[in-house]
Amino acid sequence: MVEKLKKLFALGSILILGLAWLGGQSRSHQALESRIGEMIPGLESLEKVETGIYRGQTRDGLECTIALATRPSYGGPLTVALVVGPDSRVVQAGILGSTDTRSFLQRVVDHGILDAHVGAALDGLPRVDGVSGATLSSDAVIQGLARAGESILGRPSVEPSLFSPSKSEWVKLGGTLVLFAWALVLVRLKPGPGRRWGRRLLSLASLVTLGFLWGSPFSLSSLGLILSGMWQRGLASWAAVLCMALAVVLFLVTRKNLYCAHICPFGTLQAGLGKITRCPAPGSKSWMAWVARGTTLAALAAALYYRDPSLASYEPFAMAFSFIGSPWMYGLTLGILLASLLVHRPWCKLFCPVNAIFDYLRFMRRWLKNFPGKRRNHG
Amino acid sequence: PLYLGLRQWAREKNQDIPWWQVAMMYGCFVSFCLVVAGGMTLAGEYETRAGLYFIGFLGTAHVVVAALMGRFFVFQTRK
Repeated sequence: MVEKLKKLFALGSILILGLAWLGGQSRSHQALESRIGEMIPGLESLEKVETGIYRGQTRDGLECTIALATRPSYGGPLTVALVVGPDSRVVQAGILGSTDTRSFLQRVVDHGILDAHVGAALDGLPRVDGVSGATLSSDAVIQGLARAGESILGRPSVEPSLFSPSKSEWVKLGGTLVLFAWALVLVRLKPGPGRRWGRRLLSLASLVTLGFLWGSPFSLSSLGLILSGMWQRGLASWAAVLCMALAVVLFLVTRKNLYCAHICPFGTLQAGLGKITRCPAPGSKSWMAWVARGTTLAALAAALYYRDPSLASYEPFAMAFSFIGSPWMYGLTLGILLASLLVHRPWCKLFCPVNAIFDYLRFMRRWLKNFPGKRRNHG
Repeated sequence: PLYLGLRQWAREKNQDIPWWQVAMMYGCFVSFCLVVAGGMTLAGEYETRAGLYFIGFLGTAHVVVAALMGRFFVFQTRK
C-alpha cells in the first residue's frame, strides 16, 4: 500500500510540474504587458510596434516609447525596460523580470543603477559601475538598459551567445569538474586513512571554493531554471547548473549521492559544527522525508508557474556564504548553524530539496528497473 | 557566582581545568555579554535590524567558540 502511494506521488509530481509549466507559459505573456503598465503611472494605451518596442500614451497625453531588452544574469535571463519621452530623454528605467534572488536585485536597485539613467539623453546613457556582491546581476541590468536604448535608436547589436563564459567562469567550471572527479576517484579507493583524508580534504576544498569563493552550490532554483527552459536564453554563470548535472550523472553512474556526502559546502559546514560536539544523527522518520519532498514539489511548481526559478530558492546557501538574503533567511541560517551543534546535519535531514531530488531519482530508477516487462525479459 | 559555579562543578567531576582555560571560557562569556550589549545599543539607536544582525553574527561565532572550548578544555579532560 505504501509502495503504491509512493508510485502515485511520483507520477503525480510529474503531472503537477507539467501543469505548472503549462500554466506558466500562458501566464507569462499577459504578465509582461501588465508589468509595463505598473512601471508607468496612468498608462492608458500600449501598442506593440515591433519585437521589444512598445508605444504608450498616458492619461496626461504624454507619449512614450518603451524598449525591452533581455540579458543573461546569474540565475537566468533578466529583462529590463527603458521608457523614453518625446524629448529622447529617459523617463523611467526598471527591471521587468528576473530569475535572480530578490536580495541581489534589491542591492542593484539600492545602488541607484536604475535611478542613474532617469533624465539621461538616449544617445548618452551614463556609465554606471556594477555592484560588488551582485556583479552579474548589475552587469545584466546595465547592459540591458544600454541595449534597450540602442534598439530605440535603431542601432544593431550583437546578441550574446548562449554559452560565452568569462575567464573567471572558466575557472569555476574547471574547478567544479575537478571536485567531482576527485569524488569519483575517492569512491574507487579502498576504505582506509587515504580515503578518509581524501574525503576531508575534498569537503574542505568544496567549502572554500564552491561555498565561499564562488557561491555556486546547486540549489532547487538550478533545477527550476532547467525545467522551465529559461537556460536557453543564456546564463551569466553556468557553474551551479554544471554542479547539478555532474551530481546527477555521478549518482546515476555510482548509485551513490556523492554530492551530498562529500561535496555540498553547506553540508560540510553543518558536519564540521557537528564534529565539535560529536552530536548524533537524528533517527530517520518518514515524516521528515515527506516534509522535504512536499516543500520541494511546491517550490518547484511555483517556480515553473511564475517562471521565476528564484522562487524555488529557499535554501540558506547565499546567506551562509555570501551574507545575502532576507532577515527571515538570516534567522533560518543562524538557526540551522546553531542546531548543527546539537543534531547532525539538521538542514539535510529535514528540509534540503537536493536530498528530496535524489530520493526521487533513486525511487524512479528502482521502479523502472523492476518494471514487470523488464522482469519477464530477465527471468 | 558563575566563577564559583564552574570551579565547584569541575571539582565534583574531579576535573583539573588549568586557570588559563578557565580564564578563556570566562573571557568568551564576557565577550558574548559585550556583543549582546552592543546589539542592544544599536537597537536603542533605532538600528534594530543592525543590532539583531550584530548579535546573530557575532553571537553565533561566540557559541561555536564556546562549544570548541567545552570540547577541548572540559570534556576532553574527562578522558
